[in-house]
Amino acid sequence: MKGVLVIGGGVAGIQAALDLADRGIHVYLVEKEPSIGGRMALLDKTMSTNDCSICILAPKMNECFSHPNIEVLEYSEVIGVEGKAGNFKVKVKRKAKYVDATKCTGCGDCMEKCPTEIPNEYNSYLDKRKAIFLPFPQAVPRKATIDERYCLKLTKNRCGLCQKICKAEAIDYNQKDKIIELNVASIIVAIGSSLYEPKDLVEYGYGRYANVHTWMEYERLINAAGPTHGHLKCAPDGRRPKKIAFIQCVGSRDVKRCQWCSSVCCMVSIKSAMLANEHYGDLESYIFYSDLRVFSKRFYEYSKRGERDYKITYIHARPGEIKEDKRTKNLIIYYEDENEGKVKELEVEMVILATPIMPAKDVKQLAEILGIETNEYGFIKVKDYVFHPVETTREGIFVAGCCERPKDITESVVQASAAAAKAAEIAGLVEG
Amino acid sequence: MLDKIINESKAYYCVECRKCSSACPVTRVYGKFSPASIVERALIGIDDEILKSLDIWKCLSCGICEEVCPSGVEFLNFIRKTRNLARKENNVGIYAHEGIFESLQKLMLSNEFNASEWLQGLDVGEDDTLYFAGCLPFYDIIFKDIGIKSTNIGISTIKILNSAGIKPAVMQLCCGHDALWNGNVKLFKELAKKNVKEIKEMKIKRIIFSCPECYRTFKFDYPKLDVEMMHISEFLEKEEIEWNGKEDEKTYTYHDSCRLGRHLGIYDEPRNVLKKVGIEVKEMEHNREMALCCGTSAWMCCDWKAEEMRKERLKEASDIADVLITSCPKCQIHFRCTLSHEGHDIEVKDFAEVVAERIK
Repeated sequence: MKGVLVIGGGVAGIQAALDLADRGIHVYLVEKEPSIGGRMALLDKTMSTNDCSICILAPKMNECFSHPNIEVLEYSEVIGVEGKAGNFKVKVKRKAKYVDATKCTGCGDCMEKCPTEIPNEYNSYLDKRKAIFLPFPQAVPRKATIDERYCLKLTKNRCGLCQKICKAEAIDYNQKDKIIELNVASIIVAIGSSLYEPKDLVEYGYGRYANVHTWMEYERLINAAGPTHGHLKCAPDGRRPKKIAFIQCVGSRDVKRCQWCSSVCCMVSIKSAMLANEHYGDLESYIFYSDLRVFSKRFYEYSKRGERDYKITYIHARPGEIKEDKRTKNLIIYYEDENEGKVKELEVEMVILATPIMPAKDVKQLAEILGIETNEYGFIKVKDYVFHPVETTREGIFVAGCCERPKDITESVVQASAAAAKAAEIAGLVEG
Repeated sequence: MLDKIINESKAYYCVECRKCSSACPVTRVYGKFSPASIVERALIGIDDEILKSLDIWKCLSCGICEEVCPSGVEFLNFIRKTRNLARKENNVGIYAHEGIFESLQKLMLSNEFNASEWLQGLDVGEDDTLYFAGCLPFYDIIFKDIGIKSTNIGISTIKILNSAGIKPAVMQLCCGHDALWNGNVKLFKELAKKNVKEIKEMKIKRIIFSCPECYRTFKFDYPKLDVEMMHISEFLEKEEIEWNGKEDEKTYTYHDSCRLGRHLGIYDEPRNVLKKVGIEVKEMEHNREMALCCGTSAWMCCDWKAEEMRKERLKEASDIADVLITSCPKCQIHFRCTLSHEGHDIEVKDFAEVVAERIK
């Protein structure tokens, strides 16, 4: 039986791969990063149960990697697709990691010695990582990767420290990219999303004010494996905040920016405010919302619980401006009180902006390779929202997760299982 | 009555998030004015209350509300059209300076009206480029007591053009901006008609403006003229100009006027030109898209609220600089007015004046 190609190793891709593999179908799981896990691996807790995100995902990641029917092709990209449903010929570029994966033990000695520090994208650029790196501690596979853009040996033929220190002799500066060809019956696209960078909303001072963060940055700040080891710290003196605010719809539901509702942010902010209060019992949070869209089962109760037990105050307003106190770096939020009908000021120590989920950066390029369409916002288009919610515009290619539209983990998993069922159907037909 | 205006200004897109009001400079100092609640009242249909209210005249049309509105409500369009309707019900707002400016605008419709003494000795009138000076020359007399010499802006602009080898034709007539924003569409149309007729007869290829209000009005509110139009800063940015090397110890900041900035989107050009003549602009806390307003537009409702806004802006400027460069003649007048009775350690100068002094 021909296998199935899953593009993207986030929670949707992992779920789809496991579903297929458990049915005895061979799966190729292509992931462009050095580790599978996607955005979920970087979140602190999941809503609405406040489970540790990586703790529930890591077993799935490992199961996926060690499954006899799944071949994980990490650090790889799909560069060409030919054929049709039932018989796709796919070209995959396996990028050189300059590390022999069969030898690397993931000990981390090389990362300690590497002298090159670069902004760490896996911690929302809040700290530095080395040019030879693991994306995060629970990375799967736990094998080092050399970032060829920054490695001194590869760019300037200097250094070579990692090779000297590696006891397993795994470093191989001569490794080259490899192109491999796969033959699959069907394809599932689960490449995830990107996030809006709110620099153009100058009224909120992101990028200018030290204590204004996006929600994804906050996820890393509050995470024990993050740059501050889970402690919230405010500029300029690193003190912990007692009052923080969340601003919803920053860039979303906005005719000039992202017109869609990002659908998860209301719950994300409530969850984030709860976590902050769990860390520091006296901490108060203010959530500025346009509409509190807590629409799924028990979400409304969750929001009420936040108000009752976690010192959250909900304020119906989009603030017009945030000012920074130059000395304390505290932030003064201007908003109009709808009941009193006047502009009020609220001083807080940290502001978290709920920025929207956007189409993945390389979605257009991939859509072109796959011969599928994207919708007016750049998300992958499905044939029909009601009866064909996982079929793309090309037969045999299915979609799951946030690349289709913003959704939470639960919905991503549901869609992934649906896509897997559809993909399996084609794989089964080919055999018959 | 307001239904048509609601449709035309997309006010029905309002999601009542009230972001506009919390960014509005008027609401900050006078909480009873709120763009959000004006729109809300219009949407629930209390038209009468709105049309009789003085609130609609308090808007500065500075455009911060539109800048921050996530729903694309065109509040300025809404307020302008509502004013026109209110006017028909004898709600005309409170004119500053006893309405002398509207009288002047009406006088300008007459062909005998002339104030071109200031052009004597200047190299003008031989080119296919027109410098539209607008109503600049008329301010000198009215604001003599606060040391206004708006004609200096005109003279500087002409000198700049001369140094680029251009001897511009000059027109000095009200563009109709204030009439339009005060809901006097009839007067606006008459002024526009006169201007368009004269310009068509002149057979020019390009119009250069020093006043952002004129530029805005020509660009967005006039019937299409088949000529190139630009602000003096846009012209200068493309020209190869050189600094004469004259240095001073002063620090400079630049005030984005609402018309040049938010209305026309011209932020970089003046800054780039100032850089060319040796000025590194220090930015105030509120700059570019979020720049604060000078407090009054179209000579309407100039009162303590306007004064408060000016004081705040002047404080922002004097905290970081010795000279505040303005790009709109009215901003200059307004700031100078406050400076005439409030002590702020800051000098106010127009963009064209500064550039003319420092150009080779």
